[in-house]
Amino acid sequence: MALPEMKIVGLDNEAAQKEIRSRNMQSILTGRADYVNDRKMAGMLWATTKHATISHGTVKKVDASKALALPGVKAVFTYDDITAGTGAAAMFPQKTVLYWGAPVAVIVADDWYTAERAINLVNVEYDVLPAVVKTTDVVGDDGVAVENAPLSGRLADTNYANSMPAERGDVAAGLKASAYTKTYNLPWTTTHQHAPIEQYTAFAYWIEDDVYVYLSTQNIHGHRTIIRNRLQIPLNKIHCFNHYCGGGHGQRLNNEEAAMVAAISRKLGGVPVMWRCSKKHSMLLAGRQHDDKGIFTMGCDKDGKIVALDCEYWTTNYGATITPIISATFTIPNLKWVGHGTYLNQPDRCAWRCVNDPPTAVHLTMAMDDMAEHYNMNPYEFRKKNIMGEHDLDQDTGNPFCTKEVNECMETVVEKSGYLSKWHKPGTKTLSNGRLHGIGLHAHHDSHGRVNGNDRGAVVLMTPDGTILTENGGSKPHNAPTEMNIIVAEVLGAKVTDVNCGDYGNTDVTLNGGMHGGSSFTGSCGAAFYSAAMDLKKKLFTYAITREPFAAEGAKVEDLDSKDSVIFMTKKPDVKATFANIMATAQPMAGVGVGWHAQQNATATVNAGLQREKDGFPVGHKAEWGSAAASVTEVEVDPETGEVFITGHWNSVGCGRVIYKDGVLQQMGSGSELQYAQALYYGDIHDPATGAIIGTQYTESQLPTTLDIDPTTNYLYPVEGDDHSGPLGAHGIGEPCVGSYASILAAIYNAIGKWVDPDHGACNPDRVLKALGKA
Amino acid sequence: MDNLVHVNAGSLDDAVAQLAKGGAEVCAGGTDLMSSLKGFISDNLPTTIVNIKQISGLSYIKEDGGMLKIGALTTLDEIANSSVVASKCAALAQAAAVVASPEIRNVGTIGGNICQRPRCIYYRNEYNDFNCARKGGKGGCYALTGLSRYHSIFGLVNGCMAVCPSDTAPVLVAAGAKIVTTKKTWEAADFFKIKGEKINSLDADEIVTEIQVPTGKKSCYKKFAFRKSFDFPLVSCAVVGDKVVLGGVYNSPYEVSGDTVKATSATAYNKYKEQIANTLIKRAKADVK
Amino acid sequence: MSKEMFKISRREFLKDAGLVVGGATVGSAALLSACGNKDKKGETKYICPIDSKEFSSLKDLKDHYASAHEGQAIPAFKTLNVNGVDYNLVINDYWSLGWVLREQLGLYGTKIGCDMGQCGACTVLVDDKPVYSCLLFACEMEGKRIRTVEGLSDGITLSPLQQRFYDNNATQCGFCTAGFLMAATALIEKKSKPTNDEVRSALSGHLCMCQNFKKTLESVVGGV
Repeated sequence: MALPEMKIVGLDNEAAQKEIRSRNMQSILTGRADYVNDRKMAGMLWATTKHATISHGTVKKVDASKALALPGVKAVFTYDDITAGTGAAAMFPQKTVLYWGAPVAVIVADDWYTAERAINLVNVEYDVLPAVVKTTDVVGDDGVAVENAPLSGRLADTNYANSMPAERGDVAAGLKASAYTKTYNLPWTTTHQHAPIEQYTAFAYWIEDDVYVYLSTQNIHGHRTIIRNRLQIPLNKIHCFNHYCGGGHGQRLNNEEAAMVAAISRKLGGVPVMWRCSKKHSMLLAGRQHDDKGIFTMGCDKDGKIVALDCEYWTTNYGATITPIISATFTIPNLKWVGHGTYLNQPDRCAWRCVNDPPTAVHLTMAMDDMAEHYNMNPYEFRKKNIMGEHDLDQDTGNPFCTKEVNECMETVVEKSGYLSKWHKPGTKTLSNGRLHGIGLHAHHDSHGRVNGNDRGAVVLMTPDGTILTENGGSKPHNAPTEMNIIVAEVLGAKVTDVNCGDYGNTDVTLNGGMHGGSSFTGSCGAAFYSAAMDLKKKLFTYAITREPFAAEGAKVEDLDSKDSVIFMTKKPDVKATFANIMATAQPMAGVGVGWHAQQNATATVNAGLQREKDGFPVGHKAEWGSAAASVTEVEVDPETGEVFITGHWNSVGCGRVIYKDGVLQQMGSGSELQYAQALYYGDIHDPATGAIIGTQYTESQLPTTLDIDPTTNYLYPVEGDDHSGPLGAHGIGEPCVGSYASILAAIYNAIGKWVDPDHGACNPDRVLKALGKA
Repeated sequence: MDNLVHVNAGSLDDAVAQLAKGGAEVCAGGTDLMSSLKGFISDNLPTTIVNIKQISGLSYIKEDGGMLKIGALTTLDEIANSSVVASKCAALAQAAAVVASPEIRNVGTIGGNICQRPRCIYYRNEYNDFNCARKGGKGGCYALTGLSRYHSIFGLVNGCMAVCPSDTAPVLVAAGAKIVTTKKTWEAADFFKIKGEKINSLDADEIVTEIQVPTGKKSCYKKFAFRKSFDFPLVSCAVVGDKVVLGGVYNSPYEVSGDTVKATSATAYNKYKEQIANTLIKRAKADVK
Repeated sequence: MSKEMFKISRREFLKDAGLVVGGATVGSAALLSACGNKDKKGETKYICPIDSKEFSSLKDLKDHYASAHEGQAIPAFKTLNVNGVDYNLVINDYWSLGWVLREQLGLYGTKIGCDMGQCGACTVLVDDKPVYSCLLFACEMEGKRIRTVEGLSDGITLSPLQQRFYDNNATQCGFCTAGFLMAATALIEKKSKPTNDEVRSALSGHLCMCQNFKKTLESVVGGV
């Protein structure tokens, strides 16, 4: 059976795409979308969390007597309570406190506010241990280590998790042979703010020994497995759901919370329990601050071509991975990278959107812009000299990948913004309004968006009238289902308006798969739906040839094709039947397609190869990187207050093949805006003295408002290329479009002539003033 | 918040009587009160809420003998959009217009704006995990040893480094306004001296009824915050006539003599406020209406 | 995408529900027959919000509270007008309007974000003004005209503003959307063709973690 030809037509598909926006959007608009908290059951109880007020130690004693005496409080559960009678130690609440704000008890009451009021009536005693809360305390030969193993991945006898070295060529020789070398001691940046609008929440009830769990997450299958492990009940008795889920990125809910809420409900006799976080508790559980720092030594030849790059890198992320920024954007023949993920007494997760790449992009931008000055080039010229060419191969594996995209993205934003005519030497242009003008550029190839992403499962069902339902294990935002519907329609040769989103986010009816969300969704889920649709198509054609009019022609499967929900013989197009005709008499199995995409490997440095055969269809290509991104930002800086005003932002992202244009534009726009927020606004989280999380309100998280961001000067340019690694030529773009943090900082540098030290935070006015020597 | 009792006062006397019982606070717009209660930010929160919104005669804007008189229950939105206020004391309309967000201004009152609790990141931390000096707790001042980025650059008062977060407060002080309560008439500068947790010196059973603002002077209010909505002032400047008063830099509105200020007690975290203050003074003076 | 999802009229669709419902869908009967409402037989029932027991008089309900929920404050019994419909409700003193709309009336379209007036997700209209429902005492809301997101459309056809959001693909996770819709509705009712600056100002009391302002603002600028 011939592979369908996947033409790059996404950008022309506008009218069809508006027509088939999934119904999920109207659900949201009319207030009918069911998020986890949007339910009530008779006898439902509410639960909240008692949090630790130390950064490191163990719970010695919990006295809940005063809380239990409060009218309306039903129960208080500790680590011991939940661990007893379950298959494994409870992870929520905890007995070993590893970060300030960790959960140490769960309070259940008939009203959420009553549960909240009981928090300070639960008295907890601790054995306090020394805490390590600052990355700066970990780094270096005299860095301290933290007692007690973290939840995962600490290297023995160090405070590092996942040091990920990579090497190419001979960096010592390369630096020696360089005409000019410089070492850059790059400042601590930060990534994302962890302040979703929907707080973390989960809901569970039991019917006999079946548990029903509603979770504010994108990873219901993962939670189902954890519940099985903790409560030791079979998977087919655990029903996990997520229909609508607030943003705030990553998998949101921790697996442990799902297990906790199921366990508590069971202990209360199966009564429905709605566990909800206050704004503060959401922050406490997910307030890991990803500070990043690098020390880069760069060596170039006499013409400004990079010969060698020696990097040491630290981050409070668990894994400091080498990113394609270093490896797949610029030609660097000799490279040494040592990346340390550091372990601290900080929350074990955060709500991230692209953890590693923006800070690395910032650091590389700083080094390159400085190096460019040495060679009397502007930043664009320096990058042009070093950026990988359109047909270059991966420097480590020799495999091809979408190098064209990062070139095209960079050229696009440079052209559209007028960068070359606007650029000036740093700190040399004052406007008539007294402000300082600046323009900055960045380009990088991101580690996200790659097809490889995660394991994904997809189910496609054709009903007896020939209309189609898609089923997926993730939640129901509307961009993703719309996109998947388009893919299925194209592969099946169906009318796109005949494809509808079924019951996403239901472990009972969807194939097990990894976290369904994020930047790898398009490529990996798309690949899963591709293979599910191919599976269905094969079955449908196999049945169709037994029916008229095809039987009379003696047609074989390979003689058939389909378009607009009509099956026809390629050589005799008048011999045709609609999907409805065929399905009206078909066995139900003719209309079931099941698809799977397997994650090949997670490590960006090793390309094990994606080329593989599945059911006789060759899919994928050996190399794959994520998506490319480039941006130009133009700013005005008020030198008297340090305020930065973004007057223009041009963002270009490599999309592989654009399948759902409105979805792409929305992601790009929001990615840009997120970067305004990260670069200029995101606020304080930690108390410098104790490591306690103190920035627990939005007034401290500092998400910018519509008065802070003017989206009319945010210009978006999706670029299409063919990603060889996916069957569709598509890959994700959710994360890469958040790379523009780098061009904003570069623009500020261009304006004031000094790099602002983000100091683990954002370039707020006070930090800009510090750079200007005025504070 | 269990056992919280809500009562509707029929009159000011009724309200005062409720307050006098102890453990009670008035509720006007209720925006600060509600969020403080739900956050359990202090051990000193009321258990009785005395709603005064249905008492008539407390919401008005009028000019009376060279004075702008504004009832305590007048909303910030009404003040911000009042042509009377704009022409008689532009700074007050400008200040009211930049408080919080449109939704807050639709219910928040001028009386409430000058009776709120401080916004220190430690004081406000929910569940009272930082039981600091301002709340009468034993924790001292956490900002002093921790993050003082948003705090006073002129030292502590009663062991507290939190600043006055009200946008209208510096305007009222600069204008030489009077604040009428159920007990007396205050000079604004005295009103905003700190007594307990709140940003003023009122007794527990004292209720603001009217603000009186002298008119006839050109004025301007400039606010500096990291965000242009929601945020409390990091530094603000009210100029009324020849009086210059800063907000966000000290426990109470800070009167400036001369053209510039010098921080007497800045930390590495908040030294920037001095630069901002001097910039705002210059710009506010240039923009008076 | 066709705007008309059903051919039958709205009245027919709802006529068997037994209750006059505004924009809300027919949810659990227990929710909508909140205290003091007439049930299908036309009798008035008073339902305890804590244990759902039913009583036939207000006095009986109050006595039940005193005995079964000793120590808990006697709630207030108020009539709230929401999306054009009067509801007789039992309201604990400390409950916010947002909590009551969701938990007592089943109007879950209004979201609780921060629950402290800093995000705008809970915005509803009270007497045509956008306000944060998390900061209002529900027991003070008698006599006010309250509108929620469910009241914007008839539940089948999107309102013109909602249609603009749809056309622009203006939601992502959707959690902030109801709040934005309510504030935008209030703006357009006051100023039918708002400019970009007016929209930015009117919607400045709303956060969006997906950071999706571009699409949202585009859907409001110029009105409907």
